[in-house]
Amino acid sequence: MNDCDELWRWWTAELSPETCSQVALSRLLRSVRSSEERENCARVMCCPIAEQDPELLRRLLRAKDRMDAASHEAWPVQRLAQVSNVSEAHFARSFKEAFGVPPHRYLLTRRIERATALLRETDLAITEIAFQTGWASLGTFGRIFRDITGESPRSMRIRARTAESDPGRVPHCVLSAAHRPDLTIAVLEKRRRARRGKKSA
Amino acid sequence: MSDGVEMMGLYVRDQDEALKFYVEKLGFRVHTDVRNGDYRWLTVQHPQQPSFQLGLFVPGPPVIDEATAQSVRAIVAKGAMPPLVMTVTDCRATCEVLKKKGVELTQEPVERYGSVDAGFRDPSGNGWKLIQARKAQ
Repeated sequence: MNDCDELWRWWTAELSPETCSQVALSRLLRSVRSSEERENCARVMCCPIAEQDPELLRRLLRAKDRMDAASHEAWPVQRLAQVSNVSEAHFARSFKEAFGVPPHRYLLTRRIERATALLRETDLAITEIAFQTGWASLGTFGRIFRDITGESPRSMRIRARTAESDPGRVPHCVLSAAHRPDLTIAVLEKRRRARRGKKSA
Repeated sequence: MSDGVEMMGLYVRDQDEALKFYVEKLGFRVHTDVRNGDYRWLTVQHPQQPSFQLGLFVPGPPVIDEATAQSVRAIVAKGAMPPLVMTVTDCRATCEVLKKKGVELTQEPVERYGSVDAGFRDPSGNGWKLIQARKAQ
C-alpha cells in the first residue's frame, strides 16, 4: 500500500483541517518514508505546512556548498541531484523551496560575486575573469553581468577601485558573501523589465 | 579569573552525532555531559581554550515548542546559522588532517592578503571557517 494513499484516506476520513493541528500534521508527514513522497502528500492535501525534512535540507545544502566551492564548473541539475541524492525533478523543486532561488540562478549569483571580487582585487583581464568564473564566452559574461548588476564589468572595476575602503577585520569569505547580488527574479525577466522601462521612459 | 563569555550554544540535529564529530574529527574535549530526563546538557571545549565551552544542543520541548524546533532544525540544515570561526596556525595542515578524518571541506584553503582560510560544516549544517592569520610583519 502506498503511504500517500493511506495518508490521504486518513486525512479525509478521520480529520477535518480544524481538528488537525499543524504540529500533528507535520509529525504525521514526517513519518512518511521518503521525502519525495512526503512532498507529494503535502501537495495533494494542499497542506499549508509542507515543511521540508531537515535531512533533505542538509543534503540540498551539500549541493549548494559544492556550487559555492566550484562555481566556475558546470552544474547541470543531474550533477546536483546526485550530490543531494534525490531525483532530478525533485531536486530543482526542493532547492528552490529551500533556498528561494532555482539552482542555476543561485550559481549565477555566485559567479557574479566571484567575478566582482576579481574585478575589484586583481588586474586580470576581463576576458580572463570571464573564463575563470565559468563563462564560455565574453559576450555572455558581459551581458549577464550587466543584467544582474546594472553595469558593465569595466565600469564596475573602475567604480570599485575609486570607492575602495579598508575591509578591516571582517573575514574575507563573509565580506564577499555580503556583496553577493540578490537575484530574486530571473535574468531574462530582469532584462525584459529593463527594456519595458526604457520604452516607457 | 576575569569576566567574559564562557559558553555559546549551537543547535545540532543529534547530540551523539555532534559529539562524535566535535571530539573525534575536530579534537574537542567533552566539558559537561549531563542528562535530566530527556534533556541533555552537552558542552565541548577546544583543547587549547579551557575558558570557553561550545554547547551542542538539540532544539525541542520543553525549552522550545515542537513547531519552533522544527523550524530551527530546518534553519540549521539549510546552513542559515551565522558562521563560526576557528583560528589555526596552519590552515593547510589542519585541512589535511580533517580530510583524512573524513571531513568534507566546503572550501579548500585559499590565501588572501597573506591569511589562509578554508571552510567545512558539521553534520547538522553549522558552517565553520578555519582562518590562519596573516603573519605579523
